[in-house]
Amino acid sequence: MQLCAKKCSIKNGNFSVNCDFVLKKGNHLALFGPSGTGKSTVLLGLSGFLPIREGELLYKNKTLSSLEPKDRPIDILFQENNLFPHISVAQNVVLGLGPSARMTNQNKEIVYKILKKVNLFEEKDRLPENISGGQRSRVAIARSLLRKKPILLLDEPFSALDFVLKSDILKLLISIAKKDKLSILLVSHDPRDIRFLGGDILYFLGKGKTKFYKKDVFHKEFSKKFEV
Amino acid sequence: MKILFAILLFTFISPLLAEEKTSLIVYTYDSFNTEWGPGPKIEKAFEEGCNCDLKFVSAGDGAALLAKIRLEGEKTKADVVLGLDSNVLEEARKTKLFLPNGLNIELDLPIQWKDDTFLPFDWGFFAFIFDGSKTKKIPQSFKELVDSDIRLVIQDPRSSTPGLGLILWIQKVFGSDSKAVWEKMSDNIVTVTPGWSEAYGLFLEGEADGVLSYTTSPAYHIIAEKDFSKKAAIFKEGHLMQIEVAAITAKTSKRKLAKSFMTFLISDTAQSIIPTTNWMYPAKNPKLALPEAFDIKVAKDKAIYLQPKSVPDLTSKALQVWKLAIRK
Amino acid sequence: MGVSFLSLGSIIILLVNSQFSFFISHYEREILIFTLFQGFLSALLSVCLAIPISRSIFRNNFPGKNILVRLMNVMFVLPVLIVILTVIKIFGFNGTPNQILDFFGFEKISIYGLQGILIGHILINLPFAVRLILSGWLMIPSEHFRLARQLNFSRKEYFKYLELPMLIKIIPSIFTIIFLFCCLTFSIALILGGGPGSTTLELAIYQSIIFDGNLGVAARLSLYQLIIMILILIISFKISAKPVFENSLILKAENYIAKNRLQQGLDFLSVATLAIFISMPPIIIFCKGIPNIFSVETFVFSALLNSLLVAFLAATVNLCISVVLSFTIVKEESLRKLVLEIGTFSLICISPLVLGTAIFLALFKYIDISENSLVLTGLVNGILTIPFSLTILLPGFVKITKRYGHIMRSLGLSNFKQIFEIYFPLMKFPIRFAFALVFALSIGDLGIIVLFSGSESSTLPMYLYRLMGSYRMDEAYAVALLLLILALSSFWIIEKGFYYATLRKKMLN
Repeated sequence: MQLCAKKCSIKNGNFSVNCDFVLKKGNHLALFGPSGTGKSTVLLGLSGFLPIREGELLYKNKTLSSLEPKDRPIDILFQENNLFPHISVAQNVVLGLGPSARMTNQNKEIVYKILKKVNLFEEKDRLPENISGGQRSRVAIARSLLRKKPILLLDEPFSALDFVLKSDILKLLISIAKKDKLSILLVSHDPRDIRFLGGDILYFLGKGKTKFYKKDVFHKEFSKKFEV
Repeated sequence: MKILFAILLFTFISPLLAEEKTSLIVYTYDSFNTEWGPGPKIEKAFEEGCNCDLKFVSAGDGAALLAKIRLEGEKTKADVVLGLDSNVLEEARKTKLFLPNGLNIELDLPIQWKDDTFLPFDWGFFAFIFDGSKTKKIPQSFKELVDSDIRLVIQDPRSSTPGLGLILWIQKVFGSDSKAVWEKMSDNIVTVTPGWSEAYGLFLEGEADGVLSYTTSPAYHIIAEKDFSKKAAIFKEGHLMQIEVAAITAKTSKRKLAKSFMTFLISDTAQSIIPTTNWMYPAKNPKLALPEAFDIKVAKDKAIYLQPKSVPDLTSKALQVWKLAIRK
Repeated sequence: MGVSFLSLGSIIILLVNSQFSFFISHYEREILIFTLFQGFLSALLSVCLAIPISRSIFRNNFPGKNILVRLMNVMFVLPVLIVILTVIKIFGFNGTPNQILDFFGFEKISIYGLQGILIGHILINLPFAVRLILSGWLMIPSEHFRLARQLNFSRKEYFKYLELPMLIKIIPSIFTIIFLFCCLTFSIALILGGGPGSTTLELAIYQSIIFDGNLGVAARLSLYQLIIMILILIISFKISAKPVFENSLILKAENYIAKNRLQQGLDFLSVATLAIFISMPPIIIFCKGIPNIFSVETFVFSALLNSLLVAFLAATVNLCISVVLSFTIVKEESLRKLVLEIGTFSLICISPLVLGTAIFLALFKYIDISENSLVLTGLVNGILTIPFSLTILLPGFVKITKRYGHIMRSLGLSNFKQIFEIYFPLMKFPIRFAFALVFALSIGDLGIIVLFSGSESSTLPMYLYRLMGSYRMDEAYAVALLLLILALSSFWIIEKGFYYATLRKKMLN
């Protein structure tokens, strides 16, 4: 057992969300539901930007609740603004090696390798504003991968992209995850993403309530409703 | 853009809509025509007898008034200009915008007035004003003043009429010694302000012991505020006069009306209004005695008046001295 | 469009009416250098102080935060003379610090000198700078703060990746605006500088127009001034984004990096200093104004009404022109666009007196200026504040054009339709904010044309100056209090109107 949320209650302003789920190593989890039901709140709680008020968040049976974001085994990609606009793609990526990492020869090698992996080697010296939205997402993923965190949280990171592009990136990500034994937590309101990800589902019912579904159960129950 | 155009159009038309009555346009400085100044009262009194519309148009301070006339030149709409300072008469004369007034009126000034164009309507002496309750030993002369550690606030001669008055006063009294006087006064001067209001404001706030103003300033405090503490320092070296004059413009088409306004200005009615609204001495003493606060304490032979022709030269000399002597 | 060239045009008008020579005297050079020196120093200090203070405001939540920010909005509405008097009241001969020194037997410290000039300029400009830089902090996306925590940024990296880029973007233009302001006034420098050594160019221009009637000198001085200022303006344009006067500040505190005791203490200290600093003038005005509020004669109501009318006219004229101007600027190609922008912004690069004189010279033959002085004051105020409203409107216009420009063109919408059916509704909130800002600014402004023309109908600031010019200092404080209340309440009404700012964000993002 890897990540386990036990009756967690996460508060964001006047709004709090409860959740309860388990995520095994190398498995994925989708946070699914209409917007405004608290999906992002849960992500921010898991990654440490919002406090967990009740319950427990465990990783390998140790509590994460008191850890700073940087110390959690979790990396998060936001909906937007994942890159610093004034530095190049490569410089953005190298930050994944550490806050004061520079483009030394050794680091360059690592960065270029990961950029090739996400097909962005050609764009390494450009500024984020001069590349496309899809490319920006891939830069953020590249940086994330360098951080070597076992769990990756994605907060609808590709929502601005069209479906084909989005599924391409997801495909890339899932294949990398498989190789490196990473777990992905994906927030989405698009049922197609859920199917694509192929993991268990934390379904957001609204008013801060959530329900955990095994993949098969969810698809059986909701296949008609969402046509997945 | 359309709205802008409409507004501009409106500004063109609006004067045409006004009711037509013979109107006399009098340019004056701002504080003459405030609600509490002499303007409204004089307007009312004059209009009672003239079947006309007296219109005051104000323009900044006394200096801005001349600037405005100069800018407008031949195209000016003014029939009468009221409030020019005797120390800028030569400048005003140079514009050639004024014509002799054709009046022959006896005035009660400490000096003989001989000018056929500019008619005095009030006057005053420049003087330093002190708060008698705080400054126990009010200086009796420039010499005492510069030797003391009294804190003064004065006006800049480059932007203010009293400021200009002070440098002329010192230049006239001390001549070639004026540089030394200024140098000695330099450490008495707290600061220099662009205009009278700022300087007087600083003085009232207690920032300085004394301020350059007029001998009539205490009269305001006595009559309007029942405050008897403000005192004008009377200097042995004498006091420079500021005479405020009115003149008829050359271009006016209403010479007769303008002339009768000038006469009215020196009439008993107007002259009894001016002292307690403009806080200056009347140019012709009204029949009804003025309040005691208006008693003139400067002896007649201590009144300094600069011949207008000599002023421009004296000004540039004095300015030069002042700029060099005050190193702050 | 003509507005863009108004500043140069006014110098030309002066030239036509004068003899001109390019020769600059020793005296003129001296004061030119002093003008630039004190302006540079004042702007530098204001900005340097504003950076840590705005950061402290940004990252802390404290009671009264909203009030403090609102108070900052109205500080530059106060008449200069009132600001000077409050500075002197506090730091002057009888101010508290000097009383304390005196009590312990020390010599009193004089405020007059460079220190006085700086204090005066900082008092006026610091709130303005803090307000603008605060919107810079708020422009940093909250994701970046989280990213910084996730990537374990230290203070140094935090500064390098988050704060520095933002500051580089906005500081040059804020610096320039303050610099221009400090160079184009003379009362503060002269009075608080303590003597003729502290003469700025503006005083020399005043002297040449008002006292010497020498328009040539004024034209020469302001031409040199304009050239230098425009150069500075261009440089700041090149290296920075134009300052974004965010219409509504959603005041959230980002808890981004752990703060230790010392930082917490410093934060508190800087916010407290600012709060004390900027609440001094209002408090003094309040204390001196309240006892005299009933001695103010009823004339004040007509002045109040006139002020509201002038402000309304100014804001309306301003908005009509700046909307059209923004629309044109975003449509233009690079060079013409730059010329148009620089031209418009140069409106704040020229001596107000020169502009006023030029407008006077241009118009007095055709219009009875004294009869229409209120309308003219409104018009001129409206035009002169265009640079301010452009800084509010342009970013939005650029955004909309980027996003919908092609659609609008392919749909064949006329310019009129584009403005009224696309830009206007989308820009509703910035436009309202610009309206409010111009409104408040012109309530406090004397209006430059007033120097040459005035009728009996006065505005509130004119009334205030007349009171001061007639021994009536006490009543003047009461009028200043009214002015302050008016400015505060007009801003309050607007900020309330901007409750829906989030709505706007949704529309634009």
